[in-house]
Order: sequence, then structure tokens, then C-alpha cells
Amino acid sequence: MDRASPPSPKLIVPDLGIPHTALTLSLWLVPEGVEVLEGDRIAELLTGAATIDLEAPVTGRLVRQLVDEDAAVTPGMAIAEFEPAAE
Amino acid sequence: MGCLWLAAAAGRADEPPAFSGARSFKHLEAIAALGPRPSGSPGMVKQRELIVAHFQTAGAKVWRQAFQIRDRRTGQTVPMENLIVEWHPDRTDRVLLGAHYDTRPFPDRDPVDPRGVFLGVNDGGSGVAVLMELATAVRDLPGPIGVDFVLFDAEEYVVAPRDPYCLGSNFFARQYAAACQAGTQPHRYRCGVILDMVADRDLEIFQEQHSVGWPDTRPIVDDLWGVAARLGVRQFVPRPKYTVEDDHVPLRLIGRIPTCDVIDFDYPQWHTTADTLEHCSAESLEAVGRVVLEWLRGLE
Repeated sequence: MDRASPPSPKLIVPDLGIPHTALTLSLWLVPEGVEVLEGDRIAELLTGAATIDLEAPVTGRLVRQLVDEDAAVTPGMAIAEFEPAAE
Repeated sequence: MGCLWLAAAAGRADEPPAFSGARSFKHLEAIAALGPRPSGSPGMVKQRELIVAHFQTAGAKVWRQAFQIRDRRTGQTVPMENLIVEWHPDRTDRVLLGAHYDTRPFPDRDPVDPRGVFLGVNDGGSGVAVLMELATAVRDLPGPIGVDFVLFDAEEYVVAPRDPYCLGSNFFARQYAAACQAGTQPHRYRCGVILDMVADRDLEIFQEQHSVGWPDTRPIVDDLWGVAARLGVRQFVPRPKYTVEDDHVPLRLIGRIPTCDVIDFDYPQWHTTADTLEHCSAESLEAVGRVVLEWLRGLE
């Protein structure tokens, strides 16, 4: 029996408690392939009035950006995948 | 009733200072006389000097929180300043009263002249006029609560559809959050209230939807509208209506300061060349100022 690989950690758009407000992934601060530390600023999320920093959920490598800049996003949506650093 | 009226008219020494809509309107006239006041403009510079001198003369400590942005049209940097007007700095339990003091660069909703002159008397001037008149009363505010007035720059430095709003309050909230995280913030804000577009002659202030929906700001809304009901201020309508993306959003989401928005969004002159003094009134300013002052006096 093959060992199942754990799902890769993802950066998820948080629920900011602002229903009816459009959210936009306004800026990627880290390109694909770059090593990050947990808590590093990865992207900016623009609400109508506030620009919110989104932080790396793990220490490792940002493998893939799942949305482009200026894309509309919604709470719960995965927008980036990471490969955790080996312990 | 007659005795009470006489006492108020005479300004008896043992009475706390009242909020005067007439004086607040005078401040609004002085602001309007400066002309347009978009971020980085000569009008904004003049207004800043007027505001700083007013609050310093009234006894406040005024901090200038400078930052800059890059204008996406020209590529040039634009200097910005939030103004932090501090009353009773020794009091560590503090409340933030905020208003933006910039005006939109253009009246882009004007059906005739969307690139004309935008005075922003209500939208940009009215919150400042209320805070200027509140100065004396807040200086003499008894009790444990300290108050900061924060005048935000660049709430609407918007010249193109995708330009971001609320740059000043975003900057302020980031600085505050970083200082809290670093342990260098000398005090914490218990809560905040934003005043925006509060001089409409036909004032009707419904409750703003974010402010009602967030669990930590709902009590502020309940308290403010409760005070208004007690005072018989009918301009505060006790039901929600609009969702507004205003300076309270970054203060709460980034700064973690529970902040509600007091705004009359039913203003036909919004973002048009007709946002002028004739559509504003002293009575409206007094309604808002009385409620906010009474609310402050009731905080424990």
C-alpha cells in the first residue's frame, strides 16, 4: 500500500467579517519558488478600504500562486500552495 | 424649563461646556473658504496649519504622522500627514474619534462637470468641523477616559477607478498594530468612532452595516444611537441601511480597534460640485456633536 502524501499547505483567504465587500488579490509580494518563513508577508488583499497582509502559513517554499494579481477572491479560497521545509 | 434655558444661555460656570452647532458651522465655513483640499495640495497645506493651530491653542498636543504615496498618474511622490490630536495624554484608557480631512480630487459623480471643482464641505469638511468644536468640551472632560482626535489624510485620493481608498487610516492602523506587537505602544484604544458626511442639511444617520455586524462594534452603535434617543436627536435613525467602506474598516481589521462609522450616506450632492455650504447646516452638526459628547461623558 502506497503512503498517501499529506496535502500541501495552502494560503487561504480569511473571512474578514465584511460580507458584501469585494475582495481582490492586489499584489504578490513573494514570487513562486522562493523560500519563506511562517508569518512572512506573502500577498496583499484589498477590500474596499483596507489593504490586508496575508502571511505564509508554514516555513517552506511557495510552490505555486493559484490566482493572478487583480483577481477577485472569496473567503475560504486557496490562493497559494507551499512545500513545507524538511524538519 | 425657563430656568434651565437661562442657565444654558448664560453659560454657568458649573455646567460642562455644550456643543454649539453655530460655532461648528463657523469652523466649517473657514474650512470651505480654503477651497479644494485634496492630499498634497496647497489647500490641504493651509487647512493643516489652520487645524493644528486651532487644537494647539485649545490645549491639545498635536502629532504629525507623515507618510507618502506615489501618484499613479504622475509617478511623483505625494506628501501626506495624519494629524493626531491628543487630549489628556496621561490617561491610558483611550478612545479615538476620527475624520478624514482630505477632499476628493474631482467631483467625478457630477453629471455636468466631473472634472470640475470639488469643495467637499460635507465630505471632508464636516467631520473636522465637529472635532474642532468638540475641542473645548473634550479638554474639560472629567473621568478616566483620554481622547485622541485623528484626522486622516488620503481617505479618497482617488483619481482612477482602481485607486485604493483610506490610505491614511491604513497607515495609521499599521503603525499602531506594529507598535502594539512590539510592545512600544504606550496606550491602547478601547474603541473608535469615525465621523464622515455629518453636516447634510437633511441629516439622517442610519446605522452602518459593518458597524452593526461586527460583534465588537455593535455595542458602540447601540450606545451612540441609545444616547441619541435619550437626547431626542431624531437624525440618528436606529436601523441599518448602507455598507460603507470607510476609515473604520482598516482601523478594525488592521489596527484591531473596534471602530464604528457615523455617516449619512443619503446625500444627493455626494462627489459632485454641489457639495457646498448651502447643503449643510449648523443644526445637523449640533445633532452629531451633542450625541458624541454625551456618549463620551457616559463612558466609564
